Amino acid sequence: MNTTAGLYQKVLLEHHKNPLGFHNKIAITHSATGANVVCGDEITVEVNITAGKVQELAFLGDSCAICRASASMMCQHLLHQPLSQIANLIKVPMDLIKGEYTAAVNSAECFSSLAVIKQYPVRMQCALLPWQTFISAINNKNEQRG
Amino acid sequence: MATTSAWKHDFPIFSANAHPKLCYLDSAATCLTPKHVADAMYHYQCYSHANSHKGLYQLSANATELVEKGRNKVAEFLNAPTQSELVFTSGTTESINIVANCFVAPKMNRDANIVISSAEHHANLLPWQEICRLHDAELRIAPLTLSGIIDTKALDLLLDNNTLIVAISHVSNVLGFINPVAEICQLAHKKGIAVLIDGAQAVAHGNVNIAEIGCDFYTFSAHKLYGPTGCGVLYAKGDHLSHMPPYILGGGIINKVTFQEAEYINSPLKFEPGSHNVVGIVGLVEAIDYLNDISWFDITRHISDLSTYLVDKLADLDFVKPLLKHNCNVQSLPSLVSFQLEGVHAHDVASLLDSENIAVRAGHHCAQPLHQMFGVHSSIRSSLGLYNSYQDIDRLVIALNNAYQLFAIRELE
Repeated sequence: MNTTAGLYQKVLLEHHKNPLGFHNKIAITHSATGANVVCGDEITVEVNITAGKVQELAFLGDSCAICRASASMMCQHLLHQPLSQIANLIKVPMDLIKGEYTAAVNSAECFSSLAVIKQYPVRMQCALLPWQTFISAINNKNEQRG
Repeated sequence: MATTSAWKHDFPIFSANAHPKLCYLDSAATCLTPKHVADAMYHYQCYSHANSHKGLYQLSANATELVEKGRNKVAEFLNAPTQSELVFTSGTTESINIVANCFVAPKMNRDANIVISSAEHHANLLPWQEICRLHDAELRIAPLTLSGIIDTKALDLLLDNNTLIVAISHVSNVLGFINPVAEICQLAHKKGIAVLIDGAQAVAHGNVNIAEIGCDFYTFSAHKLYGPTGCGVLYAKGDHLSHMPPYILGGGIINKVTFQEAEYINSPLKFEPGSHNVVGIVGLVEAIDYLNDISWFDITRHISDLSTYLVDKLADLDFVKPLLKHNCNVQSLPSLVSFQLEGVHAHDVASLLDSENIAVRAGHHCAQPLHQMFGVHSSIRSSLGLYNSYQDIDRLVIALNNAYQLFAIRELE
């Protein structure tokens, strides 16, 4: 007997219903679109990187609550962060989603609602998609949306 | 009206030590397996298994007889004309690929075209798309009417002297309505064009009558008919198969072979290389017997009653948006309904339903272009089977209400 209702924890639902960075208009310097091959969902991540920092971050697209909440947490987590720290900063939530997080739990507290996703392998890609798309975006310098 | 299905107890998956609370509404993806079918397969595999068509001993001869009797049983089930042949395949997908690669591809050129409809499953789109791409030929897409069936007049306009085949579904796996396949065959045949019908979603409706339809090829999978996965059928009219090269090469398909060349046999066995999936064929035959024993009249009535109830109950929910509203003028009610919940993603609905032991399909159901046509990425599909009851639909309605309350983002809509 699974407990899928447990997948949708309060924090996650809060991000889903009031997402940060969703459809925000920003001065895009980098962007990418990622697709979930399982369901065909697409998410576009837009980034403004100036002076070596993520100055602005936004996302758009039709996606499920898990993907949307994960994207919202990503916008919260990576905003104003220096590019040099990005690899470390995205490792924690991505490892948590994949069930590969081995460090002390308290360092990942703000992502605790994502940790439950490892129990639902069919939904793992939904949560990973924004982070994967962000990585593509920062590697796609000056690629504009559209 | 009864709240439980008279046949539910035939399906061990609902037993106390398995999934007694399961509400299975995904029969369009695969039907659950009745005990009769599982038992027949178990007994064959334990007590009668041998390699068919090859051994000279009695056990092998018995396996060969099972396969060949199975061929006759399926032909009878489909009411296939006498002058026709049946190939056992791994499923609908392989059956369509055989026709694409062995019947159509040898005739392809850059002036050729192939006609399909906009409601095709990827299995009846990708093989045609690929051979058109390889030969720089045209894939023509027949539109649907507002009622969700193939628009025959528009399809007729797409047919010309360069059309090599019309390949369409008997019943769409997303919309569920029965297409006017006999009429389409008549239109195509008037212009000398062959027709393939993908029957994957139609066989569980019963009453498939190939003699009346008049198609050149008909395909289906056993698991859509309460049989096992990995077993399917390709029906071919007249002597089509004799003009087709083999698809996959291997043992059991030659008259004579040397290091330099091979002479292939001229029978359905040409398309059945290697060892037969005898246990799968046994399962398919048992499934047909099981359904015949129930009677197609009772099966059709059961599904039709449930379907009416499902459509009516969903229509009562103002946040449920069907991809296509049911039209009373369309032949037969669908045994499936695809819909969206306003402001809620299909995957979230499916996950929440799963927490209440309700299994539905969510996504594009291997029909991405059709969803694009409706301007959506995904939908929820609820499809019916013998084991379903009014109670299952009531559970679905309650769970959809819960999902809507939990997820709907009304302020952003």
